[in-house]
Amino acid sequence: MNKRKYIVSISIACLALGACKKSAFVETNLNPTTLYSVDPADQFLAAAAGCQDDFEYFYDVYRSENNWLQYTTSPAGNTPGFARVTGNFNERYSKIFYGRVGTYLSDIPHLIAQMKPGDAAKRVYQQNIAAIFKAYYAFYVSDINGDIPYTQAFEARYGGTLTPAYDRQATLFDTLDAQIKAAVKVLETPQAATQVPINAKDPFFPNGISDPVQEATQWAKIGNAVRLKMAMRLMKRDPAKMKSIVTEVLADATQMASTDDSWALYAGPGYANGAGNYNPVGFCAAKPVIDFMNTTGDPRLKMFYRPALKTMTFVGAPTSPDDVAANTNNFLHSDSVYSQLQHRLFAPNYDENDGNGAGTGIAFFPLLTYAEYCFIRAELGNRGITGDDAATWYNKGVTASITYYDQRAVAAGIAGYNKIAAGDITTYLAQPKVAYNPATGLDQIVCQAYLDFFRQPSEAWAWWKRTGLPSTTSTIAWEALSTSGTPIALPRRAAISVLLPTDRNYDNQQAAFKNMTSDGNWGTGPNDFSGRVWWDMP
Amino acid sequence: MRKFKAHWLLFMLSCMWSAALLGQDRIPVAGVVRDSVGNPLSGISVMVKGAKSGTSTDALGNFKLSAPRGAQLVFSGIGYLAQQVEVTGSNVTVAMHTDPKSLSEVVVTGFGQRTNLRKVPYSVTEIKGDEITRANNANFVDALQGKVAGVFVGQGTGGPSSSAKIRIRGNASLSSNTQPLVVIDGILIEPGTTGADSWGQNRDFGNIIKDLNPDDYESIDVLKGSAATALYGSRGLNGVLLITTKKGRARKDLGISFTHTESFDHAYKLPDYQNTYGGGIKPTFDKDAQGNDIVDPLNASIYYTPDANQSFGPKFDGHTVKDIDGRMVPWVPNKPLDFFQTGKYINTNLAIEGGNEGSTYRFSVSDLQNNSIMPNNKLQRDAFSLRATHKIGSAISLDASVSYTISTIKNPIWQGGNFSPLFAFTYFMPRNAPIAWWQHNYIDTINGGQKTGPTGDPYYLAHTMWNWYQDNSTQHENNLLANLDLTVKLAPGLSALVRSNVNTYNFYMEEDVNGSGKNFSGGSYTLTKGSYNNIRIQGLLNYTKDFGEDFNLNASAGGETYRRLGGQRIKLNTNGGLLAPGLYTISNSVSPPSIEVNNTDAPYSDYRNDAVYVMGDLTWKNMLTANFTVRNDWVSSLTYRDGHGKDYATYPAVGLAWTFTELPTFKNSNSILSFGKLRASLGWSGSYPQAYYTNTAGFYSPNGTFNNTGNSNQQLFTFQGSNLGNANLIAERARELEFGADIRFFHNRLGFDVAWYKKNSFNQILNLNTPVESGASSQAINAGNIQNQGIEILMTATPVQLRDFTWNSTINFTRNRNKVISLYPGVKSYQLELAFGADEQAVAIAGKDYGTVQTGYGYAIYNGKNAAANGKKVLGLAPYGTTGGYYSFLRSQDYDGSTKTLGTIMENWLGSTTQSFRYKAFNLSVQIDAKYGGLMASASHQYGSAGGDFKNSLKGRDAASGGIAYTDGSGVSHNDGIIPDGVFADGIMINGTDVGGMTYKDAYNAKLVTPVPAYAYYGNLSQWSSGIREYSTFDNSWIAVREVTVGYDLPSSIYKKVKFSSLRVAVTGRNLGYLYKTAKDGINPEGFYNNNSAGFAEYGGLPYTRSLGFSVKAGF
Repeated sequence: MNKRKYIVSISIACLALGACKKSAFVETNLNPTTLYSVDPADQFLAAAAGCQDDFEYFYDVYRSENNWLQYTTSPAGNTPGFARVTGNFNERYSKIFYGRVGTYLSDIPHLIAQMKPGDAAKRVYQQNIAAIFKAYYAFYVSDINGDIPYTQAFEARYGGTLTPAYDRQATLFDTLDAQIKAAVKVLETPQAATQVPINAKDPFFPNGISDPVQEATQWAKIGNAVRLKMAMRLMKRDPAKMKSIVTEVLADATQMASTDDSWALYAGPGYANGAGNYNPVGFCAAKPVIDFMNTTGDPRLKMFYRPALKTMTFVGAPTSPDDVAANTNNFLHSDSVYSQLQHRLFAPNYDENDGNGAGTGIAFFPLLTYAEYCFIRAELGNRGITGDDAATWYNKGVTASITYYDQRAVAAGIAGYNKIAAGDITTYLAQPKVAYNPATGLDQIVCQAYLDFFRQPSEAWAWWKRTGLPSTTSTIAWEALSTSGTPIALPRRAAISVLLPTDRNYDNQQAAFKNMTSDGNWGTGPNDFSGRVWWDMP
Repeated sequence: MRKFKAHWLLFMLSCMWSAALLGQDRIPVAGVVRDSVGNPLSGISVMVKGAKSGTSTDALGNFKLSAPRGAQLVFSGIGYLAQQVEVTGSNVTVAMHTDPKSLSEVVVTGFGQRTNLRKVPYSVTEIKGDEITRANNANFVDALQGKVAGVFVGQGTGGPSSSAKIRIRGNASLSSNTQPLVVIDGILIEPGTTGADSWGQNRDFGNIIKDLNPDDYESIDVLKGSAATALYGSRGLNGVLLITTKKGRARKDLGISFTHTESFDHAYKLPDYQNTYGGGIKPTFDKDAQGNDIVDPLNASIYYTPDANQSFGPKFDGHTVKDIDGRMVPWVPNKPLDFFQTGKYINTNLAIEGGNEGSTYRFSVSDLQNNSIMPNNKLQRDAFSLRATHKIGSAISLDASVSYTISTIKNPIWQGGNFSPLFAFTYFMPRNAPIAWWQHNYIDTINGGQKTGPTGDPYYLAHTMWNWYQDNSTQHENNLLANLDLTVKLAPGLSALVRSNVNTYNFYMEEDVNGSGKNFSGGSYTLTKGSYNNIRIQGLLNYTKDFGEDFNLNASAGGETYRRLGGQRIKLNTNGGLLAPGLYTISNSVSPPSIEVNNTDAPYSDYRNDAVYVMGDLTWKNMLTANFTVRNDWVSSLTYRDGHGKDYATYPAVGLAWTFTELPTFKNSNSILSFGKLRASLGWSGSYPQAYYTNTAGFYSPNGTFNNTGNSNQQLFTFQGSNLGNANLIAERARELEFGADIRFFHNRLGFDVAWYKKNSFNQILNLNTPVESGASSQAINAGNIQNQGIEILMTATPVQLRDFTWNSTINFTRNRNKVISLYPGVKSYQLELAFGADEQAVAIAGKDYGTVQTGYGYAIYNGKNAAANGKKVLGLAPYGTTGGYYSFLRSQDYDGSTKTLGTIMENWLGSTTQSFRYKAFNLSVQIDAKYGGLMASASHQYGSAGGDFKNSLKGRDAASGGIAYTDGSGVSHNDGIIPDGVFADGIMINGTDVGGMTYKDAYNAKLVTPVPAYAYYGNLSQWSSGIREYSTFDNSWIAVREVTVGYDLPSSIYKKVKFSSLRVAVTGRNLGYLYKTAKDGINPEGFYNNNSAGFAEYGGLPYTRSLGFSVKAGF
């Protein structure tokens, strides 16, 4: 009796085992978190959210560019080796561009191509907006890296190459210019199908632009401004091409016209966490900038820096390593002797330890502001490349810069911050060192742009490479940097990590090194950050 | 009703039997049965000759019965010579000797069957439960170290919870986890890897092994080769640990055994710290306004400039100086060892067993309290287990086992990074840093929170202590294993087994971080919970039959389904600090808390594996056995969403075992050969991709959030990872050929068990790195041929065997060559593991050893214009700067872009020996094991050397130690000059002279350069920005005194008085020291920070620790 029961049970068990259906296996193996398609605008949002990185702030901005360009000094003073490219510099390359921004944006045309024709036709603007963003970012990466893979890059997911060749920077700049030009053209062209705006998935315009035509116009302005910005890099390398691009761009009526046209990423307080790598605490304000701003009563001073705790005045720290030893005690207490960065301008949720806890303001990450656009046009006018009036655009630039930072300081929730008063900008513009003087116009334009690049030190670096300004004798007079009396030269480009010979793209990288070396100014090797990329002519 | 009858009958029979016996002059006899070495033997049958009465020995070898005075007691057991002992008194002690002729040791193989070793065609090693528990380690894998030929075990170093590394016959795959499958009473467990990585720190809560209680283990059988593991198919690739738990034994009374063990860990050795020089880089003190010598804050390690941790300052002389924080302190070196406490391992086990012919039971409860040498770290484990067997009639039997474990782990020691104890005392710390004072003075008592800033926390010790005492993580784990075997005899020789089991695991972890800000602001609370369930149902038909005199057949067929039913891990954490300091709840979060759910990674993912199998063996004349097994697997993780995918694989194995000493020529001769067996086998095993893998790569998923200007977290949707995937993955597959011999001489007093194997694994499932510029960072492939070839030798000997004295000796030797025959077309290298961040890597290179160590941070070797200088180390200015701007050794990648190959991480051979001695009731056992070869990378060595903390930086610091006198640019004289032994790189000009290819010495003689100050020389040699990682990568060979045990069986005259049936005490020392080691400068040779397959790096860890403990075993 018992036996039969067990035999039956065993038989059933065996049958159950034998009856394993493939569909059950497939079901078991489906990842509950996987989606098989997404909205193209989602990729745009992911790219935008991913275009800033705490490592870039930690290594590239706070510990490198800000110190090199004398916006700040290290908490304990700049060391003899501070003007160097360290191993973690250049976060924009692998992590940000190839890992996120470029990869996500490159998927948008493919996602759209897979849609039904009717739906795809509604996303012509989306695709071209993404193209401008991607082209800009490629430029931003190439700017300090020289040749980079672009034309063949990002194709692995679509059956393309796993080993993309490097585009020569000279060619790449042409390619990017052409791509942006084409994108702007499309964005300025009315479409038969009503376009779907990116709207709330575009954090560069955080209030959302629900009208697709208005959104397209906004991005056409950005596209044109990016073309100008890129063309400026050619000033020494290919002045004729610069002029032709500038002339072509300025012939278009769609141009940035106010701080609202600025291209910047806006984010909530949790984005740039003030308790993590975004935390700018400890870095001292640098003496050259503080002295200039004190002298001229610059309204941006309180937006950029905090008064020194000890004196409640704005005090800058000496920047040259040779001055550190002479100020040992000051640097031991640098957090109270010297002014520090205005923490919440960088990380709005920074806890001021004032009993109010973490901040709740809005963070911003400028990519190309209206003020920068103005300074570009001022310089072009000053150099006679365009018919623009340099003084007018200079004044517009300074005004835009102060206005914009004032808006951002309020939005960032800087504790105790008072908005600038009416007339503050006018007063400032009348200051002897500020008021535009044709004789020192270029110097003034670049120095004001330098102040405006407070949140874009990478761009200030590029302008310095191109113009040599600021300098120890410019309107904002940098300190001469030296160690044991020997002058310190600033880096001019990223140090490129050499791939292992076993890396699959080794040959392409070696070919790129060969090409870049042939420029003559590339330096002694991939690691030589005193060398120059193609556009950076002596 | 039927049961009652049976009991009644049994009772009546007992009465009658007793009555019959009462007629004689019976006396109670108690005794103990041991093997020739003194280990207690359980399950030995004890019969009164000529009568039917008898019993068998319990777990401690004890027995009790009553017998007529003068009767003969017959002791017999499988594999032992029967013995007769006359009953002369109430006490009998018997030593059993192994039977040289009819050797029939049994081992556990396959699905848990006990098999006569003669029939087994592959190597299998059985470790007894006693040997495991003797190691006094919460993690039983640690205890296997040195015990099994072919098996490498690396100890976990993150405290008692930390996972050990176990590797059987090399790495058969390039996966970071090559640990074997663990099978406990038929329940499948796949342990994971834990620990830190090359970048930073992690608290190692360990894998599931720590939730298993070896007190309940009868034996662990190690199945090494693929022929042995083919029955486990796609989980058999890395070998199998088959664990059999203890069963109760039929006996008249209740068997109670009690074991109590206390073992104490003692930190006894540090790396070779120097105790001569304190913080700073100059030999004299500055003075403050009051004339006190002051510890120069710029010379010491300041929080903001942690790389200024120089110990090149004034010599220690004990006089009073003013420390950076203003305290007057003696100028003496710190004593890091004093920081550590005595670790305690206190384990108590109580087991109750009993039973009758129809049923047995064993219930066991263990309590383990285990602290480590690190303050504030502990593991507590309570384990309950019950195993019961029951026969229903003659045809049906049940065997049920349940074990339930509750573990609590508090603050596993940080492995790697700044809070890893030894690294914390090395990297941020000049030798004078007063560790002991900061241990109790890290809290800012005025403002609340943690002391900070250059004078508040000059040595970073407040940060460190805050982390160690105010950042508390506690994990609670519950692990339930339950199995039921139902066996039914269907017909003569035919039986069926239905096995069903479940593993249910859950945990929750709380991390309470006190706010270190003013008034204890900040802080955080994290709550993580997770659970999962796995089930397995197996059906097996077994048939056994003898054909005539000469043939015996066993055949089985069956199938199973194994299902990982999934679960999830949910993590909630506060953001932006805690509203009320010290209140650890999620609702106390300043900003909205975060929630993170993981239901996609193993063991939380769903997975299913069905299989059918047949197996059998045919034996001829008890001499020659042919074996075969075939398993066909269906694996869910090999299916694709659209239904395609080769989701099945077949794993066959064949083997032959030939006990040639059964041949008449041997049987009848007086050969010195007492036993001889040859064996050969060929088997296949495999591995499968992670669940969901095939349906994940290349698609999309919710992927984090974007905190937008409205302060809401906007969901992001983008690619799910950066892997390209692969639409045609198949199972990994290994083929292994094994030959072996088991030969014994001189009545088994000398034996050799030798195995040779060659295992090739194919179709490795790899995430091959792709150039990130392609838009994907990796690509799944099936490729490669990894070969492990080696020999294992086990020698056993009994050099002395006397009545009162026995000496047993075993020697294990393992030599495995782990080679990468090929990878993927066009791919020469695959990265396995990193060290020093990404400065050094262990890679698999086609044609070379697994785990070849490569670095671009090795010494550059000159190959320039001065041919005479070729081969010398190159000097230059490192691109990222050198201390003081001095010339230092260039890294190869900065010199000529080259990558150096330093060797392999894999050991050349492993050896171990156990020597056991018994003298009367005493026994002594000594285990020594050795590892020869294999590279180790040490971050502590690298960065500790840079700051001058180690003795290796003493040379050249003053005239007496070879320092060269020189005068610096300010006219100050020094005598700490060092001339680097190298030549300048080509192209270097000094004061107009081209010094390319010139030695530093020549340049010094030519007055072109001054000597390099010691602090700069050593700093540049191994600091972050310019250091030579090759300098801290070294051969790691050692000979360790692993275990010494002294045991004593108390005479019955003592324990009888307290009604014990046996009492044994033992003293065990573990990890007592190294007889030989090559790890540089006192670095702990077994201080690895994870148990990944290719892990080869150290990053702080713990001092050398030895344990000494005692154990009392009592039977009632």
